[in-house]
Order: sequence, then C-alpha cells, then structure tokens
Amino acid sequence: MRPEGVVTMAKTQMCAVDAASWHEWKEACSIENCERDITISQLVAFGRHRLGNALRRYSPETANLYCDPDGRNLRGAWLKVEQYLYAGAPGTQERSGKAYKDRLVEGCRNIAHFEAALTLKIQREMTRWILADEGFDIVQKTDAETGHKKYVVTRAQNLSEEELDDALAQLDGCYNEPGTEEDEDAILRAAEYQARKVWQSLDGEERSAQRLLLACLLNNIWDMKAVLASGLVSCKQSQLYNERKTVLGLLDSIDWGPGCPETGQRAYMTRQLIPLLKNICAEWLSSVENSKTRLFIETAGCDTRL
Amino acid sequence: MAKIDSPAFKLSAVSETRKRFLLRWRLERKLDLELREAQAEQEQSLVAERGLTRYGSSFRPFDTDVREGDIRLLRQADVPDFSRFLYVAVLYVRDNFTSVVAPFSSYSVPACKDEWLTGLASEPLKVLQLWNAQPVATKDIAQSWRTHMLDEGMLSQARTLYKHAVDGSWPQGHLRERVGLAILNPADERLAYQHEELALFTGLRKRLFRVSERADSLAKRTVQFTPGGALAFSDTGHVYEKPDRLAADSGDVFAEVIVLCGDGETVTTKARREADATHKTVRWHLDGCAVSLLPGLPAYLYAIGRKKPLNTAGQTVGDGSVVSFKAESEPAFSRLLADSGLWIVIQYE
Repeated sequence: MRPEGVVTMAKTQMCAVDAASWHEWKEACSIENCERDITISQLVAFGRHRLGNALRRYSPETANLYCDPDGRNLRGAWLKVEQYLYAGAPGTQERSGKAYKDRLVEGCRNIAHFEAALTLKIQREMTRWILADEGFDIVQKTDAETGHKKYVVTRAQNLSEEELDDALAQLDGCYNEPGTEEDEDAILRAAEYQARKVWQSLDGEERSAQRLLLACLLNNIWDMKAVLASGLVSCKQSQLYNERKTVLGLLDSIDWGPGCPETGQRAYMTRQLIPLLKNICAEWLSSVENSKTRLFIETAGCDTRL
Repeated sequence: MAKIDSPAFKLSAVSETRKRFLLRWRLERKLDLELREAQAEQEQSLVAERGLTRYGSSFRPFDTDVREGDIRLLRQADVPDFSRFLYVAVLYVRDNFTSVVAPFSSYSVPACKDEWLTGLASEPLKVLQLWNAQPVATKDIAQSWRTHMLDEGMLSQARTLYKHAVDGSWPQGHLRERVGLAILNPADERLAYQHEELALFTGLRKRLFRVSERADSLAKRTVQFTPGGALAFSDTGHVYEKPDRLAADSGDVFAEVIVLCGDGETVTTKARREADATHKTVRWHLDGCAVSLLPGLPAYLYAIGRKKPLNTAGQTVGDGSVVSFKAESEPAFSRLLADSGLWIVIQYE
C-alpha cells in the first residue's frame, strides 16, 4: 500500500495545470494548437479528471464514454469542454468565439479561482447538457431511513414511441393558441366582451364588496385582513373569504362558448381576460368617487411589494 | 329570451415539436436544479470579493464598438451570478445612450412563447429570450466581448419576435414552430425560471438608471461664455479657458472638448467636425483624448456668438472616440453647423 502522501501527490499531478500551460492554451485558442507536450498532457488530465468525476457521480458508463478510460482518444474530454463552451461562428474556431477564456480570466483572482470556475462550468452545465443528451431523467425519491425527499438522477430507459406519445398526450388540451392573426383578433374581441360582462355583473350596492375584492385581486392584493382593516367593506372576515371565493368562481365559470371546451383553452382565455379586466378596473379606480379605494390599493400594493 | 353569446373564436392545438420542447426543457430544468444544489457550496467559494487583484494573466480588450446584431459575452462584474456566462444579442442601438439586448438561455430548447430556438449550433447560443429583452446603457454593453454576429435575416427574425413579445401577439408560419409554449398557469415552474433570469439584469438596470440621471442633470446645467471665449458652468462656477491653438489652415472646424470624469476631475481635448447632411448628423472626432471613452456617453454641444446659444444633446458613438449630434430638421441641422466658439461637454462618470 502506498503512503497517503504519495497518493495525494499523484492525484495532484494528475490534474494540476500550471500557469504557463493555461497561458499557452489561452493564447493558442485550442489544445490542438498547443505545442508544449506538458500543456497538452496537463489539459488532457484536467479535462478527463473533472468531467469524469462529474459524470461518474451519476453514471460511470457515461463517464467512460466521454472520458475514454482506454486512452484511445486522450484529448476527447478536453475537446468536449472546448466544444461546449465555444460561442462563435459554426464550423470555425475563431478567437472571438472563445471569449469565455477572457471572461474566466477577467472574473478570477488567481489560478485556483480560475480552475474552480472552469470546474464548476464542467460540473454543472456540461454535465447537464451531456446527461440530457444521453437521455437521463431525474426523479424525486424518499429516503427510507430519514424520510427526506431528494432528487435522484437515473438512467431513463430509452423512451419507446408509445411512452413518448404518453408524455406528449399528457400535454394535450393544456396548450392551445390562436392559429392565425384573424384568430388573435377574434380572441381579443371575445376577451374584451367577457371582461366588460364580468365587471358589469358586479355592479350594484349588494355586490360592491365583490367588486372591491376583484379590484384587489387584479392588483395582487390577497391579504383579506388588510382589506377588512381598510374599512372599505363592512362584513366579517369569514364572509369576506366567501365573497372572494365567489369572485374567483365567477372568473372560473365564464361561458366562453362552444369554441372553448378544454381546460387549456379556458386557461388561455382567462390569461387574455385578466389584463383587459385590469384596464377596466384602472379606469374605474381613476374616478373621484373611488379615490379611497384607489388609495388603499396603491398603499397595500406598495406594502406587498416591500 | 335569446342569450347573447360571447363572440366566436378559435383556438388551435399546438404542434408535437413544440410540446417536445417543453418536455425537454422540464428535464433540463430538473437536472439543472439538482446539479446546482450539488455544487452550491463550491459556487459560494467562487464569488470574488470586489476590489481584489485579478488573476495576473491579461484578457482580450473589450470590443467597444457596439453594433446591432452583435452577440456578446458580458463581463463578470455585470452579472450577479458568478458562474453564468451571459451572452446577449444586441437588437437595437438607440440614440439615447441605450441599447436593447436579449439574453441567451442556458437551456437548449425554448421554455416559453417568447423564447426562440435560434438554429445556431453553439451550445450557449441555442435559445434567445425575447421576453427578457431590455434596454441597457450602451456604455455598459461596450464593456463586453463580441463573440459572433446575427446575420441580417436572423436579426430581422429576432426583432420580429421581440415585437411579438412586447405586444403579446403570436409569430406566424415557420417562426411559430421555433418558439415555446405559453405560460398559462400561475403555478407553472417556468415563472420561477423567468424570475431568476430577470434578476441577472439587476445591476445593469441600476446602472442604466444612473446614466439617465446623469444625462438629465447634464442637460439641466447652464453654461455661460466669457468675452474671451471661456466656458463656465453657472452652478459650480468652474471656468474652462479656451486654450491657445494655432489657427487651422485646412478648413476643418474644431471644438474644445471637456470630459467630466467624476470627482470634479476633467480632461480636455479638441475634436474635428464631420458633417453628414444626408443623415442630418454632425460627428466630432476626438483628437487624442487622454481617457478612453466608451460609446453611449451623454454629450452636449454649446456654441456662442448667436442670438440663441446652441445647446444640443448627443452621445459618443463607435468605439467612443466620436461624438454624434443628430438634428431632427433642416433648420436644426443648420444651427448645428455653427463654426466658432464651440464646446462639447461629455459626461464620463
């Protein structure tokens, strides 16, 4: 058995890159243009060690795939690093596309900092890109002993067409949108119509609390105690919660007609409705007789933002 | 009684390609959150303390001439997240010290309606966030590196999508197939992502505000001219004497330039005029300024010897060594062509 110091030294040598090597790499654009053998061997070791460690944590076989334990393509891991970080013209290796090197140097205070920043890039972003490309998934699991929930990255079985169809089918009906500009116009007209209708339905003394609540909700004021304390409504807290439920129910039960049967379609229309309703509300608040309500909403809104 | 129905409309199902974007985005997001958590400690130790000596090695100077279509990598000081290399596309360079930039996402597929799969092969440039496009001070964006350019067609597409993002409308045709799905649910995880991405511009937004404030305060400063042609700021009483220069025999027109560097320090130089009647613009080329200026710095041009003293706002352009004043009309352009007693004041910091 080797003494511990030797092991440490061996590890250090395996992945240490000296200042001269980093400098040569930075100036030479790519490992392919580096001339010094020591630069190349240090970068190769750095890339294989960092990328390998990051991937091995989740998948040893993927680590082997990218970091070549057989030594047939020693530069592979480092070239991957260069490839993933490159942001220039495709098919070229322009210096400008490698400004990430300048960004690393500009942002770091010494070589250790530089290496740590690059390592983080490898461990976080490159690892994510590779795992996603290799079809890994992540699931939440509960530790049997501690009961703590944690995410675990697992090798997903290659999704069969059927399974993929299932995943896609789950999105059916959730996302709908206007197909043409004419559809957009028609949707806007329908949303405007419903916004006016909703607002008008809260007309009258008996529904004034509901209109106030709608004005509050449209302005992101959800604190019912603040509404009660404002003195703008004269009812009990429980009644106020009921009124709020009614208002939310009103928005939920809008009859959008036969063109809008699915949940996703209704959600889309509600999303179009809210800003229009907010405009109507703003106009209502701007009148003199509603100045007390406006003042409350402005103040409570500021408090919420704080 | 006949029921008045809601006006008829039609909503269409989305394509499978775009549903796949969402599935892939969700996967990448989950992996990202997991990896972030795993690296959290390490990241904390990476945050450089401000004011510390930087890594001794030199880095390439910034590409200070900001152009529309540029793809740029922002410097670390402008991005609160140390580990994020933030690339932006410059959509517009405006006359009012600002440029509109859109950042690139760190995910490989569009997350939402106003994100665009660019078709660029480089991993960091795959998706542009048009919803997160915003004005920043041109002088700040000048302190970054140009890594690539959007070609004319791509810039035009990006601008089209930016307009759709601003007015909430939908792109048509092939562009639709390259954007993500709308966020409809207030509990959608993509909102948290948007919140994070917006925060990346906190520092730049604050600095834009400061530039606007300084430009306003420069605009409000009143100047006076002494009989000897010196310029004086009425509020501070600073007087800048006109230096003796040999008369130019080339027919060129020159102006005295004062650069306000902050802390009461100033640098003076002179500038040579170049008039462009086609664009009703007058550009002044600075002659050997002792400080390196950036584009997008507020500047004012003053002239004496007229019934109404000239007082026009402009800004530095190009790499910062030219000051440009644009006239809105022919008479205003004629006024800009005053040829004596000219002073330019540039607000540097």
